Amino acid sequence: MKLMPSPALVRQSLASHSWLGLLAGAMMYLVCLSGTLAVFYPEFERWEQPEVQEYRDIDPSLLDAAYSEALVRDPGDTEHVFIGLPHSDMPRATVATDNRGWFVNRDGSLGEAVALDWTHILLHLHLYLHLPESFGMVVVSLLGVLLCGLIVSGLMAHPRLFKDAFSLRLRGSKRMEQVDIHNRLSVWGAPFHLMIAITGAYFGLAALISLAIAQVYYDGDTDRVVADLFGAEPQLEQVLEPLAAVGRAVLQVRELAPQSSPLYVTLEEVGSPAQFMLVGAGYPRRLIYAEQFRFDSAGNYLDKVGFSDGEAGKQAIFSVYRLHFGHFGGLLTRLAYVVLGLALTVVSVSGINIWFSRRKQRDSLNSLWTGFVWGAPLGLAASALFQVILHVPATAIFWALLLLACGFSRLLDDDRRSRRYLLGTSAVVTFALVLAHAVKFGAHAFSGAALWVNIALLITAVGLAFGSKASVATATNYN
Amino acid sequence: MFSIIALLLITTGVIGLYFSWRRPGPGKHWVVAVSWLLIALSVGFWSRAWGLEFGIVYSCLALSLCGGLVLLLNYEVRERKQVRPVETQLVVINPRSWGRHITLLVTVLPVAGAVAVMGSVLFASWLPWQTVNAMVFAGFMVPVVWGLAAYWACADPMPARPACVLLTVALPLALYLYL
Repeated sequence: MKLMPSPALVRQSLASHSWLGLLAGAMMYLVCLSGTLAVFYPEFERWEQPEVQEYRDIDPSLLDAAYSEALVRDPGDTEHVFIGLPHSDMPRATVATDNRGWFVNRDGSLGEAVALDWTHILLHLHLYLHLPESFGMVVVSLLGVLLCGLIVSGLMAHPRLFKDAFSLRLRGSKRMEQVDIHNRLSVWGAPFHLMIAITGAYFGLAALISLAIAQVYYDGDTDRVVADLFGAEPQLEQVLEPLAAVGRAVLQVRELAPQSSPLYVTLEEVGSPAQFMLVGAGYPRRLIYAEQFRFDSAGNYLDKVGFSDGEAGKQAIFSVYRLHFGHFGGLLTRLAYVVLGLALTVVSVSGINIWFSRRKQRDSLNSLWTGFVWGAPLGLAASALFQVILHVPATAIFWALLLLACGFSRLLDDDRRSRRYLLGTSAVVTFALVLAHAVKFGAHAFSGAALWVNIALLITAVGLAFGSKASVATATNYN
Repeated sequence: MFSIIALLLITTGVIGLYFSWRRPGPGKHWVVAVSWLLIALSVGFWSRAWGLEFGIVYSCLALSLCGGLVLLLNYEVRERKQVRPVETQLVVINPRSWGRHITLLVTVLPVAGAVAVMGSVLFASWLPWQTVNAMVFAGFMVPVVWGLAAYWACADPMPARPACVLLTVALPLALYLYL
């Protein structure tokens, strides 16, 4: 007995795959492209402000002074204070209230204000598509759901998917080329795509799902769901000292879990008698982002939440972030995520390209899509140039350039020439970005993470230039 | 050391799959079976080297990358087919298909979503697990169930059928949960 789907099922699955792909298509492309870059967002943050002092360890007693200075500098109301501790992936310390943040110098004094605006543009594109956060998060998570549907429908729609697993025919007919690229990258990347889809969907759907969970277990009380999963807030009634004993708490974590490395301290309920501290500590060879150790304001140890050794569910839920962004296991893992993320980006684009090539006619949508695809890298490069170098708020610049690229492509009405010009412009802008970064930051642009980001940008610029040159302008449009 | 063994196993497995694809013969099924066995064995070695959590993820990443690499080494460049230039037309909007698209959109998003969320949470609650584990399992199950429902909604030649079935399932689920 052969376990092959019937031709009718294949046909219907293909129709389903097309419909879901078109629904997700353009948004999926932006989310995948920005997500691929976001794998290296800590490096982009360091590149954006390369002059900040870097070190891998800090005397915890200096944190108290840094935190008190931050509260003096920002006398406004704040419910939280976040202290980022230096570690191998981010060798910088920060202190932030709900309103502002600063880097901490090695001597514990406050340094430059944190201004990671372009990295935030990139992350907001990936997490929210620049929509209002609560709505955008749901939209992006729905893309994760649709990706699950696309993986299933894709597998059902292509019974020869595994038989053709090593066949990659380039050039030839446009349709065959795009089909081969789409199917081969999809089948080899399937485990990664499924993992990205499920973890990505989780972020935005968690709030929605918790409503149903609360109904089943706690008569609709979502606070109890949060308490079960992330630990109930300690009930404290303290007479507060002027400052919380942050340094003491960090020192205790080093004793309680010597194998861990403290990553951050969060002060909750700041200024109230219920004030307490969370010290997040990363564990080697674990996917959990951190175990959270809790202390009262005087630095007395209360308990830990149990992300490292509690119920499997707790461990799993705190592993989602690292699993989604590839922030574990070092540089090789991140490079693997970039390669596979880029593959998913190509899958998104080639899927739409296949739909275009199956249509009998060519209309404005063809050229608009070309402009959209090749305008996005240009928009990202230009937004970085404006934001990092000129400090011009650049979210609008990204979208304006994307629209302009679509308009330009429509006006030209020649896909290859549009691609050539847009890629060429992207190459020039990316090269200008590196040049401007070097001029603005001098020696700092050639050290630490900034050097590697600039080298990567130069390689990207060269790649874009080659891509532009390869797009021979034949003035031929085809379906 | 264990990482190197794992990498060797997965590479040999993928190359085995490649050769069974390249030269299909009478022993093909054996080669395929042994190749997959080697790939499965690599999970153990990755886990031995890096722990179970990293081991499973590394196995998936390595399989994708090895497969992709062999694919890249096997690409075939064909002569570009000459295509006749086509005239660009105005976008034609066909309002007759709107009804189908709107039905699909409603079925795929809110209806399938409601069934996936309520169904997954209820299903997980019946499992003999600790509450936290059941909650988290439901959370990871929702996108998969939702995706499957969306696939069916779009694959069914009669769009109204999945819409009706899903609504029929959603209603008692909602009544059970909220009444």
